[in-house]
Amino acid sequence: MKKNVRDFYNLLSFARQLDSKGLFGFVWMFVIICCIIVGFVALFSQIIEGHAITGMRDNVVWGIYIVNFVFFMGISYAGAIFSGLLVLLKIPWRAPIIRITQLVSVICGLIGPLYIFLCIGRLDRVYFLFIYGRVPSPIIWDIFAMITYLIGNIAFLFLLLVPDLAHLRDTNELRLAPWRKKLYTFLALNYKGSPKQQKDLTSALKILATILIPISVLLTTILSWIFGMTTRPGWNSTIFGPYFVFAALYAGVALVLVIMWVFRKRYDLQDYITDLHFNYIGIVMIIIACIYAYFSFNEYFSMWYSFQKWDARVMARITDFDRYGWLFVFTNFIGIIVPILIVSIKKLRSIRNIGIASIIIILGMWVKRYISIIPTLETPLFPIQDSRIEYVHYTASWVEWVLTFSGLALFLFLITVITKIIPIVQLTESLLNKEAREQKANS
Amino acid sequence: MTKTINFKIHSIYLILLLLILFQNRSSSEVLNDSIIQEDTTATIDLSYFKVNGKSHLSAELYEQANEGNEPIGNATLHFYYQLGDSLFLINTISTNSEGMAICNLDGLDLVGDQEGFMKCLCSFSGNKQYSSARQQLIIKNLQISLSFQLIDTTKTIVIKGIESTGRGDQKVIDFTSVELFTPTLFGEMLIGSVEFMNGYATLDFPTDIPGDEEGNIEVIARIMENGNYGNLVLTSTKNWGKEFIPQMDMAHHKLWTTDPPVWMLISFIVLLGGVWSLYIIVFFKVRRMKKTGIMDINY
Repeated sequence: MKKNVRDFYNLLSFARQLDSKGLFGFVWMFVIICCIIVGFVALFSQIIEGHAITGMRDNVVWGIYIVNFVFFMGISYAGAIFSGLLVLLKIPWRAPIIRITQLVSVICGLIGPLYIFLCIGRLDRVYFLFIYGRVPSPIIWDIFAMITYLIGNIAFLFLLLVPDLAHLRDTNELRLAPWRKKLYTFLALNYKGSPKQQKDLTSALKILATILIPISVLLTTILSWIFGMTTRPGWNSTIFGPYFVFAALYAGVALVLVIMWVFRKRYDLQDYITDLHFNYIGIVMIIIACIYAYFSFNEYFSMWYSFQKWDARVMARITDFDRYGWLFVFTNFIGIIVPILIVSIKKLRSIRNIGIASIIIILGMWVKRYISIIPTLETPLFPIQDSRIEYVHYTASWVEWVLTFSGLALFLFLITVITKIIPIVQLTESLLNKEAREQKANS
Repeated sequence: MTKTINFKIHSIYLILLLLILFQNRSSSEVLNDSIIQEDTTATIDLSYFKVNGKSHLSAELYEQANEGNEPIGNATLHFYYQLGDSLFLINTISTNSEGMAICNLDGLDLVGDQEGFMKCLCSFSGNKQYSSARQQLIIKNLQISLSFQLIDTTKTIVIKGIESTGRGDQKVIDFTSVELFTPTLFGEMLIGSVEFMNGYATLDFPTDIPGDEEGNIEVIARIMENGNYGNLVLTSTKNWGKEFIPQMDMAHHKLWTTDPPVWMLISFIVLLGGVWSLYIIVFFKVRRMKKTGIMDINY
């Protein structure tokens, strides 16, 4: 292992991240844990009182739980696609980013499905999905594919970590607690960086990267089919598959940028997460934004122009400024045009502004899922028997909002805890850039 | 004296000049009047139609020109029924832009003479532009019916033709041609042409005409421009055609069916199986990596 020390970044640079115990850290964790505890209280209320405590009713059977599910899963799939591409394409500047993208992918992939459980009225019957599930149903495809994806995704993150874990196991640069050393020793899988081990590890990573990209694309598409294969207005669209893929990538790249921004600022990682990384990912973000805008325009324009009865009703609802008009403007104009302008115009292209643009994108993409799902459900094809206002219009209850913010808190909790154990940046350049360096040396 | 004579002569010239001028003006007016009075001859073509038992008179008003018949639109036509020497007005109808006017005879109990002839008349009173015109039509009231019968296992179309007389009795018809058609995409196809004998006309139904999904086929019997009976059309439908079965094999899948299509099962198993096989390969690679680490004492 010592032979490869030169291949690592300076571990001391990450001492603050791995070992800081300041007041801010405690307050941060305390707030996050409080949010999660409140979430458990809300969950308990929902289990006791049932879905009547939520805003979901006969017509709007999916509320912000499904919005959160689509949002988190989309980011997860996007993270996996980015990680896979970074590994397979051997992009030279990937090392500081690949850990973040993969970490985001795994955490969001774990949180997203929780919201599906919240949508289920009888949680005690969840296992029915496996016993009585029918292969023709896209929901069953989603379940099996998602389990397969999560296992592969976690394995990919873990294998990317192995060299760093081995380094942390062997290093004396940091004063690590004994339990940490034991943990690193257990997780490092006897990795010592020998050529044979590097070969096996690189091979395994390439296989997983190759699998994860198509799986992620396929899963995002299946996710879109849950909506697109119904005949509901606003959902029954042939472009929903690629539309969802680019929506996921758009939100995913924005979240990665936000995390890069926060960690760089909080732990002074300017030497690792450089301006160049922000510029490169910013350009990727512009390209995705343009493609996503193109899909959005196609979707809404064809809905509006065809003026079919039900589509017209959904469009009228979405663009009604007394209902969802402002959200429509925010997600489709501010959420796309502002980030493009910020990254395109050199004077505006600061790291802070890119971070702000990314936050706008994330909020915009959450809103996008909201106005994609709720207005359609508020436009039922069948006549409404009982037309009480709460049956026709959806308003999320406090339980749903609390559980939404608890999910966000859980995301922050997990990323905080995991980044206390492993560096946010891939330390082992040797593994990822070995081939590139060898080629350079030979030339 | 001379002055007086000259004055008279000038006066006479003046009067003559004025007379000539007035004469010319009057001539042109007379000429114009003669053009108006020399009106165009209008002509009426009157036909009788009986379509599926409903009768009507169809009149076409036109002027004959060198370039062909020019329809006279917005002209009032009077339709009459003549019984003996008495004329009974049936209806007054204006022609359309094509010079056509249709007079419905439904609900009218028109009685023929003793030989069964009915006399109908259409007249145009004329106007400033066109002369008056009238046309008489003498027809017999023929009733035809279509039936489909299996005669010695042969599918046969039987058309029955009966004419009614003014005396109230009925008479079978002979030697009148009737043509049978079936509708096609862009027109009609002639099935056959037969003559009435003793009030009946029969035709073997072809066995190779495609019908709809249930084999229904529409048959149209036509007697056209017959001197006695006018134009008669009768349609009827029978499921004697070849059943048209769409060649498109529709996949009848439903989201709630319990059995998925085979291709879907195979695709699903192959895809999942492929991914899990690669996971197993990854697992063995990682296990080998772990074992190698134990043996690599140099590292």
